[in-house]
Amino acid sequence: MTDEDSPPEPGTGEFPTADDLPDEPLTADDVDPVAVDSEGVEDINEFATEAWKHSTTADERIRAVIKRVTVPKSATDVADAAAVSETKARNTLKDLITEGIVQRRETTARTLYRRDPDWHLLQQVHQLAQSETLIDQIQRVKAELSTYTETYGADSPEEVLVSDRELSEDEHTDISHWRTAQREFGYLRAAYRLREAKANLPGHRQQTESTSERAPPSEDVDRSIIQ
Amino acid sequence: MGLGNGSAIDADAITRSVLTLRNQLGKGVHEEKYRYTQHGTFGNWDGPPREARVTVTPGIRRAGGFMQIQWWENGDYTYHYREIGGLEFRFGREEANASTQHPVRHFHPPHDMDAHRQSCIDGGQPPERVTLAVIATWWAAVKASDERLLNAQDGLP
Repeated sequence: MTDEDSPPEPGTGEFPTADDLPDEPLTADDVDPVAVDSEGVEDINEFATEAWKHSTTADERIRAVIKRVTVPKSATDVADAAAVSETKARNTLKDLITEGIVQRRETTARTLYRRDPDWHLLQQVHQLAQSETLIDQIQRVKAELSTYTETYGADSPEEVLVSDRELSEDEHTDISHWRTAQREFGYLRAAYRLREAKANLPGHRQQTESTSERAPPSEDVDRSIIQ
Repeated sequence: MGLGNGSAIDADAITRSVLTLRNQLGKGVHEEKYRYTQHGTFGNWDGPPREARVTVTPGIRRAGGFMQIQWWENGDYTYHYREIGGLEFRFGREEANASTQHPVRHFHPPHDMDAHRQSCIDGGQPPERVTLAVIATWWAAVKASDERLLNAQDGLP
């Protein structure tokens, strides 16, 4: 389950071989990934926007756009990015505020929107809490974190960034992954706690027994793993 | 500084990109594998991915290739295509390039991967739209069996 930490398999990061492809590869006639009329479309970006509109609803596009907005944006910017009218963007953003997905910020000049950070965090924790391999994931990320702390002799990526040393491109990549691993560890711990809390809810026991799912407190693990 | 400029990997953006490839290509997506740690092996386990490797078919000159996808939280991305036989190209967005001579949104062309050409893909987020643009330019090249159509504004499918 966690053997992905073993040395890379031959060919990783390399070119595919015939073994990586189906025995009978497809031809261009078998696939039609761009089922949009390109007539009158001037360039690849306009084409991509048309293809996106073809395969999604306006609401789906607004959700896709606002989901990535961490620095507040105006309804006009959201509308542009989602290829919808400004009125449509405003109305959907209003609904998303009611749902708790989006936050609104009023300034003297205009109204700005961004994803609700708490909602975003809870979504990720909730998703992780469904996993049956939570402990494996925690072990995997802990092992990765310890390689960074050992390599750099520091407790956090920020400590390395504020130090005097000049970082190479590879070291910046390490910083990205170190930050990612730190965040994952925090989410995983929260997911573990969420499952613990759920196990103590009335009615949960019957539910888990009927689905033969094991509740976390009964899991045979060393609980220091989430410390 | 490098891709991502030190910001965290955006696992959800990687997942959305793969979903878009799957929706558009259907059976043209042969396999999806992911890395879950920086130096991990590509496979299919639980957890947020750091990188995706999608095997797509057909290819430009040969039967197919790997499309490796990464996204960072600062909006940087890379789509690296490697085909059987050695043909490769890469579309990227690298914020840190703003302080260099290289364009932020760039294209590494086949046969000259060290070159940083201006990318034909404008805008940034969301990953769904960027993926559709990458598919469109790759597909133009696949249909014509001609990699020169990559990154061409007028090379519409």
